[in-house]
Amino acid sequence: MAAVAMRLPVARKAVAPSGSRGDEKHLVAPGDTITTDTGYMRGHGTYVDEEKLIASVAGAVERVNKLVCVKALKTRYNGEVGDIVVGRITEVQQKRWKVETNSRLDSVLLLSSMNLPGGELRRRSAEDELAMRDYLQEGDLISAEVQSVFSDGAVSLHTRSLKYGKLGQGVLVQVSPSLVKRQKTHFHDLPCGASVILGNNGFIWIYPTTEQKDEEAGGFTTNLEPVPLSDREVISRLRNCIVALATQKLMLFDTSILYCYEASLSHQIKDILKPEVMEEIVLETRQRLLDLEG
Amino acid sequence: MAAVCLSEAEKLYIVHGVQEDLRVDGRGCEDYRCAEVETDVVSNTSGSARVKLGHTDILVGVKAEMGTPKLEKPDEGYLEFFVDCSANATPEFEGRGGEELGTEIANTLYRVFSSEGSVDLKSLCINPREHCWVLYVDVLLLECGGNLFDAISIAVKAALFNTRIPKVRVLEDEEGSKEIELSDDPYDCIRLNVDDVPCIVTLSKIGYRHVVDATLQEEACSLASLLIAVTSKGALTCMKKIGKGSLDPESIFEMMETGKRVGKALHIALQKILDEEESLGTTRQKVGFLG
Amino acid sequence: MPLDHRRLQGPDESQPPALWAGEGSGPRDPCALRPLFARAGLLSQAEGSAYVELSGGTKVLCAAWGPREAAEPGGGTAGGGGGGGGGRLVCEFRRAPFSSRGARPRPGGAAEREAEREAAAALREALEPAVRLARYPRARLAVSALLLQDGGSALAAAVSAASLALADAGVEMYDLAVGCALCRDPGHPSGAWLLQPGEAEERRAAARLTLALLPALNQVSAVLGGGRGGDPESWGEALRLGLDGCHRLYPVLRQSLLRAVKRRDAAHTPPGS
Repeated sequence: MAAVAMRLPVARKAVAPSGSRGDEKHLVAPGDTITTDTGYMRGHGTYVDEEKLIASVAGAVERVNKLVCVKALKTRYNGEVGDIVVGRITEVQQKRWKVETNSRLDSVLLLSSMNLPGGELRRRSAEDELAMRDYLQEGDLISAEVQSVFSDGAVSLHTRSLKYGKLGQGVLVQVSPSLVKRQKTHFHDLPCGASVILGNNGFIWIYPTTEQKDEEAGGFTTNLEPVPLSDREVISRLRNCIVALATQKLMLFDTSILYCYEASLSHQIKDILKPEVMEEIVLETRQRLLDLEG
Repeated sequence: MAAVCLSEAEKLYIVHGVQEDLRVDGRGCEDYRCAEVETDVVSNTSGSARVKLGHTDILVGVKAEMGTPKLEKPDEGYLEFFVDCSANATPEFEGRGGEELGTEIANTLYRVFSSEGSVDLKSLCINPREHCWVLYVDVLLLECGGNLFDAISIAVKAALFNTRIPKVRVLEDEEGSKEIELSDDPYDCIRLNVDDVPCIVTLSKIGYRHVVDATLQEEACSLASLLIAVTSKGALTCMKKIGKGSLDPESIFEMMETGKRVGKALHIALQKILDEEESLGTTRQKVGFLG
Repeated sequence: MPLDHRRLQGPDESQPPALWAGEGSGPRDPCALRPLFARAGLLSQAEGSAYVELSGGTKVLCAAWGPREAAEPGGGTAGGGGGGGGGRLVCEFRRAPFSSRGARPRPGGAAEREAEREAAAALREALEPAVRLARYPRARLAVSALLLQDGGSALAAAVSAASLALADAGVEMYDLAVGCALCRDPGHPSGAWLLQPGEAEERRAAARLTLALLPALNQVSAVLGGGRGGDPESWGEALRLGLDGCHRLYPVLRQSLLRAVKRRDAAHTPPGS
């Protein structure tokens, strides 16, 4: 019954970079000169010294026309308007909640920028203010959209759509925000039988797919019925697959997750996290993704 | 300890999962996470080991120094434990923040090793009443990812297994004055017999069942855990309830049985890996911190 | 007052010869409990207090303070308890410098402090499940146990005394916590556990165990033990014996608490009514 697996550590090479397709990124370290050409504009992650454009973070250089930015590959989340995020309530304040979104400052969710139960858009009364803890309390998880970014980098969220709101039963996985690929939609009902929300902030929520979307609940009632075992198996497998992909630094999006899930099917769920199995299924996933691209 | 905050629904999900013997990461209730053990990682020590259990990362160094035996036990050496909660593990440990946890773990280790026979202390005696070896066991927490106690006890056992104490001889001249002579050969060492060194198995009560090797999230769902020290023969040498909840007597009996079973499996796996590492000898590629 | 450590000429550690003189305690009934004397509400300034004495010399005095507003709201993790919006329970366990039979330990010595801290943590864990901390948000309850004389089973006595003191302070509790200690005599064949060991028995013991039980709920709130290895069955037997001991001690503690309540009640009702 009891399984105890112990091993000697092995120096592992990261799965060889996909490379070879000419999209090699220009990587810099802080202090590296990016360009001496004065025609460029200074973006995030750079500074100008003696007419040279110098990187201030370690990461990949990105150019948009004349604007040069360096994007750090491992950093906390930098909010951008329109991003989908998953966050955890840390504090209930007057008319707003503080939300932890892996951003450098706590994000805020204003009482006025959410749909109240019932889904209707009505005036916020004093009662609503008093009942804030009934809607969301410390520790609760929400999905939301970035409404605006303040000048100090703090993020303001809104949940003014039925697809956002409080999250019920499921599993949260935290990865580096740069591993989440930007896509049209970050809500996916995967064909394997579970749903994921890929938050741009690197918070990934895996939850059982609900058959009927209860519209009028507005996402404030949580289903406390036990999740059936079959759903749990899918969710656990997905979780381990996402952890495996993130460990091997593969971009996360619906196809990569699904391919990884399929590659993992020959292994037991708990074995996926063993280093050699992780390597094997991630390699297989990558191969399929490359084949897809042709 | 590095506390995680979970919503009620997440906790419920974990509790229901434990009930069905399928935990969030796919493990059953009595499964450990994959552990990596490496000994001899720090060269300035007499013995050292590093254990990674999931995201928990522990480094243990043993230093043998000469001291005077304790008055009550004049013909035995002794062990001293010190646990350092480094701020690397979590910012909460900064300054004196980790002190309380460190003392708690050290006290637990003293209790676990208080049983006579866990380490042959008589072999550490050089010269009754005058000189003995004192083994300073220093535990460093590099990362906390749940189940600290088990990981620490595994690392302590591995480090003690790895410990080599130089051989010394006591020479006595005619006038009765004694001199201690260190062997010239640096490889002339004594090793400790660690067969009876216990390992800790922490059983966390979640819902109506208990799990071993809880992650941080699972620890947040558990109100009370029972910590059991088990030797490789299945004997219990220490028991301690931790956490702010209480336990049913019946579940304690069950936990003791599970602890014994899991503990035995743990010892077998650990001994196997230690022997394997030993048999590789110098051919083994050291990984250390660059793995 | 400054202590002149230089004046101490003796060795750092020493014991009086009396310690080594075995007291001829013959074999005894392993299930026998030492007579326990308890009295609640004897200190005038603390909100609640209790004194527990085990015949044979263990004397513990306990005081409960609070609930008061916690100095640092939210508690943090430093104090251990708290979290979840409930109150915090802070426990202290002190041994009087003259409590043990051996030489007087230097108060505040490192080893002494460690031992006290461990006992305090055990005390807190034993009491926390009994106290309805959720009823005292942002508040702080303090319990201090002072061991006047150690005649064995000290921690167990402290648990009983502390829960009496809390109850005496009018703190909301689910149940009383009753402590009981056991030890395994090395002389006996393995498996012979003695209830409520004396100090000499404790010193000789091959293994020791301290339990705390919430008798009405039948929940074990503290298990702390160690020593020479034994089968789970052997420890299980100890657990059963100890829990039985707790059940037997419970009426005594309950009586003494009710007596204290009655005394107060008498003081409240005008004479003659």
